[in-house]
Amino acid sequence: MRRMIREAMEDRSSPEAFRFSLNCAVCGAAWISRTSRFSKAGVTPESEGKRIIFQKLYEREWEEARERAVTDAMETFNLCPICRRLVCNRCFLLGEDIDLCADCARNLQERGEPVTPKEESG
Amino acid sequence: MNKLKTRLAALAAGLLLVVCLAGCGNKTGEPVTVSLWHVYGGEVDSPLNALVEQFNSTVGAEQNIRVKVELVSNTNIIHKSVLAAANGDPGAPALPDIFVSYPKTVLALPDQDVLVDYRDYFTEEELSAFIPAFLQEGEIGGRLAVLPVAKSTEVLYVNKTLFDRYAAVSGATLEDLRTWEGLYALAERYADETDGKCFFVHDYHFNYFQVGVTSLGEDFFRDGGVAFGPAFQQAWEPYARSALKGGVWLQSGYATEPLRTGDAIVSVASSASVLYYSDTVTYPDNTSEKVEIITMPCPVFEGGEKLVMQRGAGMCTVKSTPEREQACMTFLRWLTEPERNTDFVTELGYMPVTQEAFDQYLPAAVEKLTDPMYISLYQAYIATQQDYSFYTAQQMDNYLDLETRFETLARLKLTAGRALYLEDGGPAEALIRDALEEFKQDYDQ
Amino acid sequence: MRIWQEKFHREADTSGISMRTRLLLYWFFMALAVVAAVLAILSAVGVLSHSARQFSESLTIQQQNTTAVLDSQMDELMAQGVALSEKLGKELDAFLAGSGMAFSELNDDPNAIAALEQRLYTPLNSTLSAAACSGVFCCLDVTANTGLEEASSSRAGLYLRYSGLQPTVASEQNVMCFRGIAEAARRLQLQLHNRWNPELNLSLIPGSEAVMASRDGRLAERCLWTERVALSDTWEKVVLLCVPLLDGSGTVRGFCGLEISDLYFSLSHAAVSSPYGSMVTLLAPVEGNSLSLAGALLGGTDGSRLTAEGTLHIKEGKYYSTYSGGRETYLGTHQLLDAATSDGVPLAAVTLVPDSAFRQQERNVRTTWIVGAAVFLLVMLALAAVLSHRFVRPINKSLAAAKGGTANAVPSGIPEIDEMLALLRQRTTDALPPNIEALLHSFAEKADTLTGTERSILQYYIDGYAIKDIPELSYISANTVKTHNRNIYRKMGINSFDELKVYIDLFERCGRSGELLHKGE
Repeated sequence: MRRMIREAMEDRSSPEAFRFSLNCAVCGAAWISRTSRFSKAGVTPESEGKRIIFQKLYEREWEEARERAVTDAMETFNLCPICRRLVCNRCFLLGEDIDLCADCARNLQERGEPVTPKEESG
Repeated sequence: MNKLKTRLAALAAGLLLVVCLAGCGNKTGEPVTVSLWHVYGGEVDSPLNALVEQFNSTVGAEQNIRVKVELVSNTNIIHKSVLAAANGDPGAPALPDIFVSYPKTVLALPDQDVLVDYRDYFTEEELSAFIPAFLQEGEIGGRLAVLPVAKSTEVLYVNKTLFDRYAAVSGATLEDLRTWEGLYALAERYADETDGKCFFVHDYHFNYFQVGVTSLGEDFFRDGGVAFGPAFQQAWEPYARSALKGGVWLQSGYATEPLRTGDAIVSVASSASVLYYSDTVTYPDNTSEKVEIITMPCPVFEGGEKLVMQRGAGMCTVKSTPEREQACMTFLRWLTEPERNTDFVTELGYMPVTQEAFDQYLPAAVEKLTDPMYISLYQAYIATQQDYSFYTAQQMDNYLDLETRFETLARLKLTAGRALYLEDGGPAEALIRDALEEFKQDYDQ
Repeated sequence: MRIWQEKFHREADTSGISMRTRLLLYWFFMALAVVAAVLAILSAVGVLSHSARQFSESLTIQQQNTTAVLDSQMDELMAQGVALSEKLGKELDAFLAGSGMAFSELNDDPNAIAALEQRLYTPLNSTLSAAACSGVFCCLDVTANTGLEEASSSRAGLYLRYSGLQPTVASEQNVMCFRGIAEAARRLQLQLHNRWNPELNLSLIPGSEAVMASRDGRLAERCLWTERVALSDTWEKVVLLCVPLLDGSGTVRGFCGLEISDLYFSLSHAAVSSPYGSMVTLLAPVEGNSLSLAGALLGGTDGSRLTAEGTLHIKEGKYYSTYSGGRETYLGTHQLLDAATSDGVPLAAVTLVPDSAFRQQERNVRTTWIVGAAVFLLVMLALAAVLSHRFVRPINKSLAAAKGGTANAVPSGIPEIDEMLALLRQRTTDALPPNIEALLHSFAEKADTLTGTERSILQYYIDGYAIKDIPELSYISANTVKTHNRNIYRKMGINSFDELKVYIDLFERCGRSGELLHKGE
C-alpha cells in the first residue's frame, strides 16, 4: 500500500520547500501534503563543498518529507480491489460483500456507503 | 536458583573473611616497640635519647614503631648484660632488640646466630655508602653483625688551665706532650715537684701497650697472648717510672674522674668521652674552678710510627620477628643517614660512618660547634686523621679477657711498686724491672 | 481420572506436607531472620556489647594488683628509710663521740666529713642492695666550705646510685658515687659518677627544708616523697623519699632517703598486655581532676605512646575514667595511696590503657556481632527463599499442567491445592459453566452479521494483528479501518477494541477460536 501511494504521488517540491500531491482516481480531487521547508532554504552555499553538502541534505530531507506525506496519505486513500486504483475516502464505498470505488460500484450495480460522506467534506 | 545459592555462598564467605580480617587487625593500634641498649650518653644527657624521641615522634609515629631506650651504659656493662642474657643466666634480662657492641662481644656470644646479618636487610648499594674499613670491623664469621653508627679514636685531653699554671713555674710546654717520652718525663717531674701528685691518667693501659708496641714495629700479640718483646720493655720503662713516682693514675675508673677533681692534668681517652669531661674542677674544700680542656692528638714514641687506636662500637640487632627486625632496620637506616649521622656524632665527639657524611656534612657541622672543648676535639681529630694511621684491634676470642687482666694486673703491680718505692725511696730502676717481671709472670698464668 | 486420583492419594500419603506446616516452617525462618536483624541493629547501636564492662573488670584486677604492689613497695621503702635513718643516726653519734667533735665542727673540715661519709657508706650500701630502689643518700647539715657563696644550699652527704641500671638483680648493679667527698669514694673503691659533685644541692630537692625543719613526732610521719625531679646534669628523673636524720638527742642533723628513678620504675613495673591494649602503671600526683604526668613515675610503656610530660585531665565514667591530654587519650582507673608529695598532693596508683587500643577492641567485638548477625540473617533469608520457592513450585507446576489440559494431571504434593485442583478439574472437564457457554454462543452468532470486509478484519484481529496493521494488510485507508471497527463493535454489542480482545481471548482459551467466524459456514 505504501509503495503504491509512494509511486502514485506527484512531487511538487521547490528548492525551498517539499510538497507532494495525490489525485483521487474517481473524483480527481487533489490531496496535497503539508509543506515542509528545506532547512537550508535561502542560504547560499559559500563553496562548492557546501553546495554538495546542501544538495545531499536536500535529497535526504526530500526523502523524509515524502515518507511523511505517504503516511499522511494513508489516512485518506484506499485501493479499489476491482479497478486497483487509489481513491479517496469520499469515493470509497463500504459494501455488503466487498468495499469498492464509486465507479466500480456503479458499473457492477453494487451498493454501499462512502467512508466519508460527501456533504461532510464542505 | 543455583545462581542465587552461589551468590549467597560467595557473599557469606566474603562476610566471614571480613570478620576474620577484622580480628587480625586487632594489633594495628599498638606500636611495634623495640628496645635499645646504648652507650651514647651514660649518666649524662644523651643526644641519642633525644634522637630516639625525634624518631618516635616522626618516622616512628608514621610507621607505628617505637624505639625504647632501656639501658644507657658503657660497652663493658652492655657486654656483661648481653652475655648474661644470651647465656640465660639466672636473673638476667631478656636480650634487647638492638644493642651497642664491639666485635668482642659478638665473638663471645654462645651462638652468633641470634644476631641479624645486616646483609639480609641492607642492599649492597646501601652498604657501599659506609666507609669500608668501618664495615670490615663488623664482619664476623662471614656475617655483617655489627653496623657502624659512630667511630672514635684515642686523643689526649689537657686541663690547659692547670697545665699553664704548672708550665709557668716549670717551663713545660704543650710540645712535651707530643711524645710518650716527653709526657712521662713531665709526669715524673711534676710528681717529684709536687710531692707525688698525679699528672697523667690513661683510660686504657692495654691500648697504650698494644698501639705502642705495634708502632715500634713489633707484634703485640703472640700465640693468643701478649708477646713481651723489646718494644714492650721500651714502652714499659717510662710509663712505670713515672707511675712509681706517683705521676700516673693507677686507680680504677675513668680518666674523667681525676680530671674532674683536679687530681690529674692530662689524660688519654676515647674521643667519645668528651661528653663526660667537665669544664669545672672541684677541689676537696668544695671550691670549684672553671677550666679550659683542650684536646691534642695521642702521643707517640720518638722514632715510632704515628699510630692510633680506632675505636667505636656498632649496633647489633637481635633476631626476633620479621616485623620487629624490620622496625629495627628502619631506625638504623634513619640513624645512619649522612646528615643526621653527622649531627649525631658531632654531639658526642664521634666520627660519622659514611663517606658522604665525612665529605659533605662533617666540615660544616664542625664549623657550627660552639663548645670550645668540642672545637678543640675536632681540630685534634682532623690533625690525627692527617698524620696518623689507624690501628684496629685484632679479633680474638679471648681479647676481652686479655684486656681485663692486663688493665687490672698492670695497675696492681705498679701500685705495689709505688708502695715499695715510697717505703724505700730506693732506686727506681730495679723496681721497674721487678714490676715488669712480676707482671709478665702473673699475666701469663 | 481414576488413575490420577489414585496417584494423588499415594503422593499425599507419602510426601505431602500440609500447607499449614510449610507456612509454619517458612514463618519460623522468617522470625529467625527478624531476630538476626534486630540483633544486628542492637549490636550496631552498642546495646549488646559488654566490652566496657569486661574491660572494667580486667582494669580493676590490674589496678588492684598495682595498688597492692605500689602500696607495699612504698610502705617497705618508708620502713627501710626509717631504719636507714636510725642506723645512720647511730653511726653519726658513734663517729662524733669517737672523734670528740661537735656536729657543727664538721663544717669546713673535708677530711672529717670524708671519714664520716666512709663510715656512713656501709648502712647506705646495705640499704641500697636490700631495698627496691635505684639509689640511696644521706645529707648532713654541714658543708666542707662555709666560705663559699652557695654554701647555704650546699650540704655534705653521700649519694649512691646504680649506674647504667639494668633490668636485673641488685647484686649485678654497678654502684656509683653521685655525691660525696672524692677521697672517701676512692677509699671505698667507688667509681665517681660522670656528673659527680662533692655535696648535695638542697635547692634541687623540693621538700628537703621541710624535712629538716620537722620537729617532734615519729619518723614515719615525718617522711616525705618529692615529686618527680630531674637529677641535675643527667637525663634521669627521680622521686626521692626523704627521712629526717636525727642524732642521739633527737636533733635533726640532716636527712636521708631512697631514690626511685623513672628508669628503675619503668623496669620494675612492666606494661601488662591485655586484649584491650597495653596496661601501663603510673605513680602520679593526682590533684582534683588533673593528673600530673610531669610529676609521675611511669612503668614500662611498651605498646603505648605515654611520655612523662604535661598533665592529663580526668573524667570519671561508669566503668572507667578517661584521661585526656593534648595528644592522646587514655582509659583507666586510679586509686589514691597513703602518701603525698612534698607540696601535699596525694600520690595515686594509676593504670592506663591507650584509648585507641580499647576502642579498636570494642570495634572488633561490635563488628563481629554485626557481621555474625548479618551472615545469619542472610542465611535465614536464603532458607526462606528456598523454602518459599519449593512451596510454590509444585503449585505452579500442577496449575500449568491443569491449564494445559486434562490429559496429564500433575499432583502438587500439597493436599489442599491438589484437592482444589481436583475439584476444578472435575468441573471443567465435564462442561463449561452454562452462562459462559451462552455468552460465547451469542457472540459467535452476532459475528454472522458482519460484512465480508469486516469479517476479514476480525480475522486479522483473531490472528493477533493490531488496528494500525490493517491499512497495509487490507489496502484501505486508516479512516476506512476506523469506520469498519465502529461497525464491528456496534454489531457485536461491544464498546471497545479491548472488549473485543477479551472475547477473542476467551474463545481461544476454550479452544474454540475456530467457531467464531466459521460457525455459520
